[in-house]
Amino acid sequence: VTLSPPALRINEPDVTADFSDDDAVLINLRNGRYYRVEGPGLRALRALSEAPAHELIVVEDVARPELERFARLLVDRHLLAGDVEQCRFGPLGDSESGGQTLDLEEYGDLEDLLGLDPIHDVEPMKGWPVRASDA
Amino acid sequence: VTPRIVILEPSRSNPDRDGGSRAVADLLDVLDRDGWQVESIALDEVDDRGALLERLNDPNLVVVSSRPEAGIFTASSWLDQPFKVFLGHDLHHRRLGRWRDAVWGTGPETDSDTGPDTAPDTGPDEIADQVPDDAVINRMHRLERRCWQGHDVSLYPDRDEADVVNLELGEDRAMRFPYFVVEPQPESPDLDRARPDATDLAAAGSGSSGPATSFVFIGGSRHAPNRDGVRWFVRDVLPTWGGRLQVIGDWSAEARAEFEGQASIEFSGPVSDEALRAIARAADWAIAPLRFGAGVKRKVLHYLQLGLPMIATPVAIEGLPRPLPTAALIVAPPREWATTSLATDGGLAPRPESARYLRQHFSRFVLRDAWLSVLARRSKPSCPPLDQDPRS
Repeated sequence: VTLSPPALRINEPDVTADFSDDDAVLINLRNGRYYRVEGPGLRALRALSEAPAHELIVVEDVARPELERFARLLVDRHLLAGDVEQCRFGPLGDSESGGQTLDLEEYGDLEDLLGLDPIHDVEPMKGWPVRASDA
Repeated sequence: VTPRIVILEPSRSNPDRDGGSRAVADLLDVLDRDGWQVESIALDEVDDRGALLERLNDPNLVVVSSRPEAGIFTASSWLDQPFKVFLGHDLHHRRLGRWRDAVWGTGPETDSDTGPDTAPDTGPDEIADQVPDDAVINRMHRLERRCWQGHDVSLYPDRDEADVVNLELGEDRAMRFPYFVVEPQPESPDLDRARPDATDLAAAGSGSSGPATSFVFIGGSRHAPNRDGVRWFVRDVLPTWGGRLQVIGDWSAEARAEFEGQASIEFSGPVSDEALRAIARAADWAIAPLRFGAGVKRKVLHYLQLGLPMIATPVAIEGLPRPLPTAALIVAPPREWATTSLATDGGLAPRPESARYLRQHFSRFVLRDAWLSVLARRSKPSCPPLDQDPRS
């Protein structure tokens, strides 16, 4: 059996994705924006980026319209490349609504992503310490 | 062919405001003086980072990524031509873990000499809300590991931190790098004087007669270890020792409000170089009451530069090359501060020994030699780009 290539894939090399068991962090190297997905969003990202074209894509507890919306969002953000029209979203025959919402967290920089206090020590005295060249 | 050097930073350096920027400025200054062709690029000023990557993919370039954000950018890219150097500054995930442990009294370091050993101190709610949780710390660890894997060499100011990286990667990919250039100040009779003999504040107690001992702390409230350290010192140590604490640096009104009505602490705000030297002449001791953190703390080098004797926690002097200047420095874990006798070796003048120490370990010549050691690694095969998809 020969499987078709995925309809959607991580938009490398402009986008890099780092998957863990709990979440995935995606970075768009073109604009420096960071993205994070977890839970059903993580499962959806995996399914979308691995499913062969025209194969049914099913994510547990996620309704078809939501999965399709999420796929289009990832493509709009240039995180996934490919043709959404070649995807078959499921589950077919189930309710078109309800289920879990798929979230894509978007951050302007790494500190936003990590939610941290400023990382480095702050020495706020202007002009101090004086470098030898300035003395 | 002499390589050109590109230093990538997340945003434009502000060396007057933070230690990381100061380190980059020191490196730039040393390289510039030695005739290297150096370019500094702030990533947040770059509209098309893809175009930048294409420009950087040059075998005659050394790309220096400063801090994890620039490190992630380089490590995650397809760059396979330049020699890639990661300036980690400190092990961020370790510092964040210590912050969590200091606040919540958790973690394996709680019972060690270097860890927090006072009651859990959440402080004001707004501070507690900022404490990183395990998920954040683990994510930072993951991102830092990616930085190490995606660079030919990673540089840390602390030998131990470089060892942690090498151990985790299972190969020699990290080095100690001095980071800072801190030149001793010119000789000064006022600062070269010997300090008084043993000042046993613990024995004298706060009811002691005579002039109050004056302590000085340098650092702003935005940096969590500073705020935690001052709070802890004023609450747990100063009542036993007596004396007054002068805090130099930018403290927000909200941070100062925590100490409102306490006569033993004074916030002087940012001060000029001249005013700072005057404060150093008048002060008895500098304090570095840091209960968590990582990497080399520049404030400790500042105290040595000023010729002030200091009392520091083990965390504060972590990573400093040994032997330490004992005439200038007392090291005690937090639980021992209140009972520590403030006496340095034989009443020696701290400044000359501090000056020797700084010249030996933090001169621009030391930094230059360390940089040449980094470049010596260019002869090894360069680090290939990371696999773009870790699952494959």
